[in-house]
Amino acid sequence: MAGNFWQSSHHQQWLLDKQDLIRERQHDLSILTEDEYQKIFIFFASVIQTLGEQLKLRQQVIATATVYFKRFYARNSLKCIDPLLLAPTCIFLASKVEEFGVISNSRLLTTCQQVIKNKFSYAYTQEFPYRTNHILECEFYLLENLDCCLIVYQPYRPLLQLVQDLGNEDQLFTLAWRIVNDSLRTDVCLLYPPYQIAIGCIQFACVILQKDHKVWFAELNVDIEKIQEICRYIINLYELWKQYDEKKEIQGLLAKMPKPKPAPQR
Amino acid sequence: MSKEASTTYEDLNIIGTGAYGTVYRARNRTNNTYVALKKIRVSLTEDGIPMNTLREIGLLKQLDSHEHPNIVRLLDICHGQRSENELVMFLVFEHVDQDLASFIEKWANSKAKLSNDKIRNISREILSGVDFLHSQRIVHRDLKPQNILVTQNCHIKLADFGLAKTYDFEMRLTTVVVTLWYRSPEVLLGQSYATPVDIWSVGCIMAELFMLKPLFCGTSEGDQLSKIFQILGKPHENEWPATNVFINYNSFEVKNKIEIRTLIPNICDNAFDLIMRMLTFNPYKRMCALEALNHEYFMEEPLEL
Repeated sequence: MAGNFWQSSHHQQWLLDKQDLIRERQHDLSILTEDEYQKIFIFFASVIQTLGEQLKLRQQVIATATVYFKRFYARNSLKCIDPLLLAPTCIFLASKVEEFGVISNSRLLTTCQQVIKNKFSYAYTQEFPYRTNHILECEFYLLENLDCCLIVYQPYRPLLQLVQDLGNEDQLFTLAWRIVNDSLRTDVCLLYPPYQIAIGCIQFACVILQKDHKVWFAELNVDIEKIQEICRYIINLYELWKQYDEKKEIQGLLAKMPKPKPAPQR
Repeated sequence: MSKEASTTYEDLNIIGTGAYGTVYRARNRTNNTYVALKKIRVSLTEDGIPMNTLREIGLLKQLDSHEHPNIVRLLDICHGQRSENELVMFLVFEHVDQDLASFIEKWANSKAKLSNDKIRNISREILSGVDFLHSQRIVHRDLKPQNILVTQNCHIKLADFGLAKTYDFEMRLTTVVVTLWYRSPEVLLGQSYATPVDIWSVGCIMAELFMLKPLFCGTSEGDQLSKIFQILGKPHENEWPATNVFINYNSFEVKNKIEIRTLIPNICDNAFDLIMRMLTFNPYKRMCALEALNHEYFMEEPLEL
């Protein structure tokens, strides 16, 4: 979406402070440890990604859906809405906002049922429990909680421009793009503007590929400290991933997760 | 859109109804300020909240983040009742007591003339708001004194763009009379149109500030065009749109031509020149908002900023 990021609601209302996040999560973090909390969000980012891929959505739409999801829980406890309902709702809303078109509810629900059964049976033993009316009601609630700020800027466009400036290295671009996707499993999209995330991911990719672009980085007019912070979030994510077997742990985590009081009705 | 409207806002009275839906004056219970609530009905289907509504909401939010001084502030978006197939939404705007229509009426009744400085400031602020909307790729499409607000300190705020517009299409189907007085020739002729339509409206409104009554008061599309031609003269035949015109060039005969200067006897040359450039028949030759703001008229002494 074109327009000026600096004047956007993304910049003005939705770049949060780390302290705010900690405060807002107090309730959930009295039940879950910080690691457990992040593992739950890693899991649902994968759910959104998988649903999006099954629905053949562009990565931009998937990323926007993930940001909606993260923004919602940045202001609400996990017990407000079951993340298994919010995840498809975010996709439903993001697809309309990103002008990808309306995903029909029946197609969305069928995809949810298939994906949960075929790809996430290690997490859910029962079938996907929600229906159209749940999604429609949830969409409304989501819109409210986003404070109607629907336009989300993503790091993909600045990433493309920066890599072009670096001399168009395909390998670097592909890797940095994947790191941007992975970064959706951290809090960086809530804390830093997208162009900084793009630079952080390029730097990370350079380190992995052992490319020396020191001069280029030095000439960028950015707050290097912020870039380092972003890289640290990504390193922490990869560290967490290494020593964690989602397939074994996730059922326990989902059971421990704070839940809405009345269970959804069939 | 954080809560149900009725818990925060207490309706006081209806400010406007008809063309653009219903607007209420309301009190914010939490801080005792007054707001304007604009009620919007959205039909819901299996597809949830319609794409164009989502787009408009995003746009309004985005627009408001600029806090332009001549655009009315959007304070909140909240919801009313939601049923199976309809959702009621309220756009909460800052409340300004007076619109330009009542402002002009007040001056017209007082028998005094609006000072030239006031006219210039009002015109500049209207243009500045219009220029901002156009820079955001928004065409207001319905500028008129009724949706231009005038604050206590005589500053201008434009209202009723964006979402309001979506609902304007419905009003064509209703019996509500829409004023044609500020409509540009290309709209009256059913042509495709863009930002120049707003400039035409500003030209009409600026002339009205000098005259303290509307410049062209037509009663139908055809009548509106003859009123325009009576004062501005009929355009040359090759300026007439070639395609999709449902009003024939030859169906107009200008009789009793009125010289526009005689309608606005007290106007200075620069102001007159500016108005004429905004009331250019051909939208491609009409001045744009930014050019208008740089017109000599706004460079005259004394400058009030």
